Amino acid sequence: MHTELDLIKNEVKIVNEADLDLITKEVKIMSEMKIMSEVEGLFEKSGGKLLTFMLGKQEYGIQILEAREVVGLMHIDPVPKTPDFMKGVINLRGKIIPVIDLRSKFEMEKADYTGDTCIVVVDIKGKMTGVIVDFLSGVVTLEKNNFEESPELGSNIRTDFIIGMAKLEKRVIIVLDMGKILSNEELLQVHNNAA
Amino acid sequence: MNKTGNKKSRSLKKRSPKKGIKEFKEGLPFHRDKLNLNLVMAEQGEKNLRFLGTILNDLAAIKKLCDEFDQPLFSNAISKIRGIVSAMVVDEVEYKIGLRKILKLHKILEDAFEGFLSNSLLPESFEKDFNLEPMVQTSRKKEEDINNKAVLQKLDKTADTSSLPLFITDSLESVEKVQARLLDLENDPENIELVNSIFRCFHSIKGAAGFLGLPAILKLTHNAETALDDVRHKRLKVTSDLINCLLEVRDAIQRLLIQLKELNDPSLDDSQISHVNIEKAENLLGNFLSDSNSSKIPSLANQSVVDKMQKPKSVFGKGQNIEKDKSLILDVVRVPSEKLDELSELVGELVIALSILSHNEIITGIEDREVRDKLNQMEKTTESLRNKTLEVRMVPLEPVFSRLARQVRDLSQKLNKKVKLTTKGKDTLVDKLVIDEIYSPLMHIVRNALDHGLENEEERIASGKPGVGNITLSAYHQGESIRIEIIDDGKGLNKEKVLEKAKQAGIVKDDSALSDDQIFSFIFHAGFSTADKITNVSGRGVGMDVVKKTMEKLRGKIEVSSKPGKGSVFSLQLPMTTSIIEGLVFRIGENQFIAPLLSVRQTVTPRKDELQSIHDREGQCFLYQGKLLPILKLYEYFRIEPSFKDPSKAMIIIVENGHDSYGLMVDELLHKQQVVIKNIKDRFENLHGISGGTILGNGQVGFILDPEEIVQRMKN
Repeated sequence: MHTELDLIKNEVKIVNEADLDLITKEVKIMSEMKIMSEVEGLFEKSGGKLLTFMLGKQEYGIQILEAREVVGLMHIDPVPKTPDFMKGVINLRGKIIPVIDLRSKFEMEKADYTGDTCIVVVDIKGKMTGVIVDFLSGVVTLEKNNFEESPELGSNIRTDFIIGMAKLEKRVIIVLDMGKILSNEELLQVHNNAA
Repeated sequence: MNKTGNKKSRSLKKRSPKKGIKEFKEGLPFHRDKLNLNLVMAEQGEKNLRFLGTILNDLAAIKKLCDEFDQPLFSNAISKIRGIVSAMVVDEVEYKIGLRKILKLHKILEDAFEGFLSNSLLPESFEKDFNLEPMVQTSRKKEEDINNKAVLQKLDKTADTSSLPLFITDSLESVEKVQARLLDLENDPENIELVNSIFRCFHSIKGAAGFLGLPAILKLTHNAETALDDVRHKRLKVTSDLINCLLEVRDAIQRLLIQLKELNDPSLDDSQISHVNIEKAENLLGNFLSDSNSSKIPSLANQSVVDKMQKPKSVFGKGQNIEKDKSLILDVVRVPSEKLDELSELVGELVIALSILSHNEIITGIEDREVRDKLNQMEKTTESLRNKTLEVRMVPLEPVFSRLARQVRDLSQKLNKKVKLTTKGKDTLVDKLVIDEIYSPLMHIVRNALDHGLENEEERIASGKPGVGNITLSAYHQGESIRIEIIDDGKGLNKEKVLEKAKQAGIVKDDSALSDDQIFSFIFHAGFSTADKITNVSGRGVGMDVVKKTMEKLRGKIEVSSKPGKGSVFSLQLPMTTSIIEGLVFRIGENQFIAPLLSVRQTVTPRKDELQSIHDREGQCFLYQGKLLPILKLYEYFRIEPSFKDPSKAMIIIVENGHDSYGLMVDELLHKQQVVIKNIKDRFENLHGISGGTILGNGQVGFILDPEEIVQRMKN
């Protein structure tokens, strides 16, 4: 709409669909360039700090700034007509927050919830989502030389969900791109498949 | 066309070589036809920038042709039209008004082209006709424009911006008031109180504008004041021209204010916006100032307007008015609306928390009298706190009604129909959210009523009605809801056509048992209104889906009734607030749901012998008050494992959808409760049949049912 308007305002010469599309695309590319890449965000905003947790035997990390709080497992109300990994919604002090099970999102084996199982509440652009993890392991600080972008991984996890991999002494931490995992497209795509 | 009749023609041959004319004539029709087509398209719909863009292109092409073959008359005329189109693009000229002017000018141009193409002659009157047509001028008053530009730029940099936001909100309110009062004044031209009131509004804007150093607004308000002062002293009569001109001045001020608001908004890119807006304002002012002056001059021919404008005399008079004004000002605190939203959310949470607490087993087990008393007291206080908070969010409908009144006025002039608009209950309080949303559906209904419902004067008189049509807008509270009615006394909806169309669209198969109201409700059917035929044939249905969608969003209902030859009534029922609803809590499996009480008719458990099977599937229908109602099994729809699959053990909630009833089958009814609606749709977009979530007394999350959507989806 704005592109269209601006175009016409600048003493209209040509307005046809093809040109508009082109301009829209250009604007889009430009705006994408402005958005800090996830890796830059990790080091510049979160200072390389990760909140790490376990799923099975693998350690995962998310940017510390994306984590809002960690709560123990609480009553989850299932939401009808949603895919398996969508466990339902919780009442977090009066706010209704959807909760997903990362294990089933990553198509890992199901595991019984234990006393260590907890919900990490992440905040992506003001939208809060709970993520069920097996065990919270702590906070680590990465240096750039510990970090490797787009590493080769086995087939058990989709590479487009991860920002990269960190190696700290003996630990190997997969850094997750929560924005992508929790994006509406991602959630809806599976909705449709399930429906 | 009459111009071609008495034309005294002159030849243009002298101006350009013969060969040029021939080529010009060859090139012209192509562009002219294209322009015609695009104008027709533009006339069909709402403002569409793409059409305007192509029209500009067409005009540019014709102008180029004219320049090439040295036809300055055409060229100038086209430049003028282009000026208007450009002004329309940037909203300097209201789309419809601009379009109307363009079409008029285009007609003159068209006639000239016709004459020129047939005999190379130009109607003598062309130039005169064209220039006589009142123009939306953008190029005159150059000097003033430059001044204004400087003015606004100066404002941008030096004005004390801290008090600006308050000024803008205040003044925007005042211009709203001005609009309402002006429309009242038009109906009651002798009412000097109204004139004074309008005067005061302009004056308060003027005062603040002067203080803040906004000469553009100052000037406009000053001119308006001068005119109104003349009215007060009976030097000027209230005519519809004067009202027109004052309305335009008001619009100009409003736009300037809106631009100021944009300029003042730190989140916007300053450099870009200010440039555009200064130009906008500059043109605007040129137009409207000249307009307002020109319309005043004829009636004040023997008095010097300029003189009076500079006389300080009137200033004293205004001083007294300020005194009067002050006594009327209520003690008011301004609060940003988002703070209110936060407040109501917090109060909502408090209500929930308290309700959880008071349902707690340990608490309910306490017999101690003091604890119980205090708990009761707390519940009462919380309840009134909640009511007060809701009250704070309530605002009168007046601004919506006055905008509609303006719409009716403008549209009736355009359509050349005489209409009397009556508004009742403009002080009715509604939630702020409703105010923001309700204008557009009401506008569509009113527009339809005017455009298609009301007949023109001759038709009305021929059918024995008064020549002036009536539209009534009324609003009132009815229990826990608000009713808004739009009543017209036009020709009514065409039942046969609606029915025919509904059959075509497959909405209805068997029409034998349909009541009139049932038939009319089809106009809201999704996809129904977009069909071209119904709008052309019966003339109804445009924008009705907008109405329907907004009503759904606001959890309201809409009904329409109509009598041929007598008119139609559109009746909107809205909940008092959109954040809290009264609901029936029920359970299916582990899930708890809430059915809005507004849509629940009754709850029953059918006896075994009342159940009927259809297509070998058991328990598909049941007998209720002698009618067979379909049972919609919610556990199937939501894919939940229920406690009961046998309808005679479960509960049936009977809901109404349009004029049909359906039974929703659930496991168990729990209780009735008020719930605070929380939006969950942004996270669960595909969750059809559920309109929101809420936190129930036990802390669990419940889902608020959208019975209408469920019925729609399960029927298919």
